[in-house]
Amino acid sequence: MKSHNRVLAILLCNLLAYAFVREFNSALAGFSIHLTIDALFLLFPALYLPLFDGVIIIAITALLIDAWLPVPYGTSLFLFLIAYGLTRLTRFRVHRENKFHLIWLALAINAGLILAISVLMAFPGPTDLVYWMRNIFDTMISLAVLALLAGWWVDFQRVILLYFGANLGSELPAH
Amino acid sequence: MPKKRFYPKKTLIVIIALLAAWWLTPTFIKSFTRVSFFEFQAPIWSVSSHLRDAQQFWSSRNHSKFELLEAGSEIARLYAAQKLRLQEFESQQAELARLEQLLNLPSRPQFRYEVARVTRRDISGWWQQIVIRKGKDYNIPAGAAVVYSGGVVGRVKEVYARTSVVELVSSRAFRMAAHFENDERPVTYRGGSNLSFAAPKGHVSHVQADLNVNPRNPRRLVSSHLGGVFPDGLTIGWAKDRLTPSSDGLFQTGPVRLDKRLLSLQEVAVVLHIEVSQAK
Repeated sequence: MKSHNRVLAILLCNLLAYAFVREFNSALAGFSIHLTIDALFLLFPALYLPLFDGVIIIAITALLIDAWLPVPYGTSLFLFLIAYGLTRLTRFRVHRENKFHLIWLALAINAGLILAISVLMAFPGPTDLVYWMRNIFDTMISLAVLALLAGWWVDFQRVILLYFGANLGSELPAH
Repeated sequence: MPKKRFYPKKTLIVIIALLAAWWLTPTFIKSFTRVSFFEFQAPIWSVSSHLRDAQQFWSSRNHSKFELLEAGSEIARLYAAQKLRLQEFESQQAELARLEQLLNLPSRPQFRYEVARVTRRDISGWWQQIVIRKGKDYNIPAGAAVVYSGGVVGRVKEVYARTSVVELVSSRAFRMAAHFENDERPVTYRGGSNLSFAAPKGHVSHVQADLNVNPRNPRRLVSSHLGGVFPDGLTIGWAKDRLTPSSDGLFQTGPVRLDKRLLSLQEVAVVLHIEVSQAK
């Protein structure tokens, strides 16, 4: 399978997930709940795709997300690329076919990203206990949702790639 | 075909090179990329917002004629009451204009309202903003005040071709001049951190030490014309809890409770200044 088809397929999957998460967050705004499940965008490219394909997907996804956020442009790119790099380096220790490994990895990436954004956003204004309580609550909800979705989402992306004609076993790099 | 080997150093080098390249990218290219990515997504969110409106329209069509008649008569009553208030308002405005002319006072800013639908709400612990469905196409300026029937919504932060981003009054980065009802002395309002499932909150500071606020004597905090952005007297929120004296003892600070409807707004109005010559 051609590399650009693979990139396009996973990028579209990421955009779909991003659109759903944004819609969901807009609907949940009345309850002051905000889901952050950015690990979904990183997991598959980091574990299953070649380096350059993954970097392209992560960079485009991050820049797209960043365009809406009131943070310096490129913040998500910076965080996502670091998380992507760290995840790729753990590929030796993770059994990609084991759902629990996948879920634990997704939870760790997500918690790290949320913590990084929370610390970055804590600087401009005065922070209080309520700020951290709110972020901890949102993190817990986000991680619970992510634990339910991560395994299924990776399977979904794998199926999409198969429909696009990619044979993950032969084409993609091994551990 | 032999499987490719994995080189950890290659990953690190590529990521560091990419981050360095981004850091060295000129600002205008970053700004251009940001606007392009925003405008690329904007129609998708607008379409979903239009679909929601259509869904609401078709679900409203399912109401019985009896319900519609009842709603119509209720609206007619409200309309009649508002018409009376409007007449009263117009006579007061005329009286005010006459007094201003007599006393040779400078004219006050005048406003018009541009109603806009909310396409998206982004309410997190980090930032609180909404996206509205009007932008440069309706001459919405950055920094304009945004209001709704319950009072102040926030301020326009960024304007794009057909959408604008509004920073909510409950956002931590939000600041504005305000005063308490029936007390013209200015105070400072800023947004605060908000808990889940709770109404949003803000903080008021620089409150004069002689002002008494407690649960038995709550005070309404309203917008001040001093900032030049908001019309005077729009509700920001209510100070219901006892205010705390600051360390120097000159001023007090305290929490402000905001309206919970802020979190689920469907429609808002952008306040636009009218030039004096245009108003006349």
